Amino acid sequence: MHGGATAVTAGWLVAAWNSAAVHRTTILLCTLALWEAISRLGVVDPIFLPPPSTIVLAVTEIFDDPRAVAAFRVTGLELGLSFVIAAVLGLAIGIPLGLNRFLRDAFLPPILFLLSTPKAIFLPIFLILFGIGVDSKIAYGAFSAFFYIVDNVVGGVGLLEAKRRRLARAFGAPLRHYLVDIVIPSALPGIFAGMWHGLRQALAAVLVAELFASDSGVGYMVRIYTNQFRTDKTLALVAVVSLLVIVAGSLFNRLEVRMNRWRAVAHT
Amino acid sequence: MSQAVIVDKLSVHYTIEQQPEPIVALDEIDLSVKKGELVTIIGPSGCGKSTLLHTIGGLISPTSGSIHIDGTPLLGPDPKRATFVFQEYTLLPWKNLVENVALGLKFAGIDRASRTARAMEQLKLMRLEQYAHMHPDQVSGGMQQRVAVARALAMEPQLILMDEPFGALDEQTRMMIGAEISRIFTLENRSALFVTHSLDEAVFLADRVILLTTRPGRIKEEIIVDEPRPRTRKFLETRRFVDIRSHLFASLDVPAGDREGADT
Repeated sequence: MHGGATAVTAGWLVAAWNSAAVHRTTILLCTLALWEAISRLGVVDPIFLPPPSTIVLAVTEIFDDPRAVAAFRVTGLELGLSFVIAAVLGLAIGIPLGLNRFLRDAFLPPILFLLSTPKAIFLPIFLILFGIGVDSKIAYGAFSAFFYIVDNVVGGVGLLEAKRRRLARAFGAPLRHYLVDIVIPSALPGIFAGMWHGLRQALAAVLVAELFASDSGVGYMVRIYTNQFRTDKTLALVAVVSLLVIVAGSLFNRLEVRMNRWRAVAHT
Repeated sequence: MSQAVIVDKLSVHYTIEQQPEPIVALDEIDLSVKKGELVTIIGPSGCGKSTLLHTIGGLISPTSGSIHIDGTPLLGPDPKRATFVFQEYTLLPWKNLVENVALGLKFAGIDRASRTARAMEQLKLMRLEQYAHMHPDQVSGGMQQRVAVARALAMEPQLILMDEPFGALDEQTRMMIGAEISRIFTLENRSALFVTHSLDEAVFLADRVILLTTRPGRIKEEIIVDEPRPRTRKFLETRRFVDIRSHLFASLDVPAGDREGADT
């Protein structure tokens, strides 16, 4: 009896030891505990680095602050619009560039040049052009996301095989069907990569623009809270944004798997 | 019998860089296919048999000469008149088999209900209806090419152009599908030009075999295979089959070193 129980316990331990999720969770919990300890024991000033428990309380606090709730709404709107603009322009420009070698040779180099330029140096120009309101955030967000989307869409369309082009020609595909039935499905991996990078770039751009000069949005609230030395509330904002990004990422992954079901089929 | 296609003095020249003289891929080819006739084209590799097929289907513009299908000139791809079955697997992996068969009909603007019905008919003819909702990657290469034939048949074209469609399949599967094609094309009275590098396939399927020479591609010989269709595998063992086959083999005039590969 006794020996059997030990074996069961040992088996359970081995299983736990072999689980990546268990390791990950353990490290995370240890880090949070260490952070809590050094902050509470006064190793670092809790004003500058409040313990995790305080941040959790601050999350509930900021949701009672109507300015913070409004800030999430504004940032969400800016992000949504800037992403949609960048996605539409990115597809409208990326697909022709991907399909046509001449257009690609002519116009892809300047796009790649701007892709590698740090976008932040353009921010003041956007503020001059569009003011410190929502418009400049949307324009700057769309600008930042656009290049990533175009680059990946062009790469995705490049996956189109010559035999599929010939098939479309031989079967007399009209342009609309050529794009919808042949080009876009084969370019989906690139399109998805582009959209995800674009979304992240747009979010980063919108937040940086709000931090730099604005009168609303999450970045603006971060500025307000840090000016008040409310590091707890600032980190609460960071935590909420991070959580939203993680949720968005997993939703995006699900969508990609769903849209690429035929690819998954190939491997089963 | 009226003619499904008439090819008149068809020439295709290529120019490549660093070579002043154009390459003559096809030189004044005259050929015709009667309604319901199945003509196979055979020749050593590089003789331009695929080029000939692609030109007749409008994918390559001829340097000179003309192509008439059902009495009117063909100036570019026109799937309702001449439809291709390609050598490589060209089914769209993101569409199921019935959607793949209906592809050309979709491009032609036919509504979903009627194109699906017509595609299902073709799959039934190929005895593949139970796989209609599977995706190409879930079925064998032989099945994929049979679906590609169904996709061409669904267009109900005047002429079907087949470019070594079963070249990637093993001999066993190839002969089985050949018998299937022979049955369906006879049943449906389809006209077809069929390029192959397999002597067995060329003789087994054809009402007439056309032998091409290498550069410039010219017609060297035409042989009538006077055997009623549809044919079964028994035809492969007949005296007539063997005689035609060895005659073609001699005519191919393959350099000794390449003989091994000539009939596979």
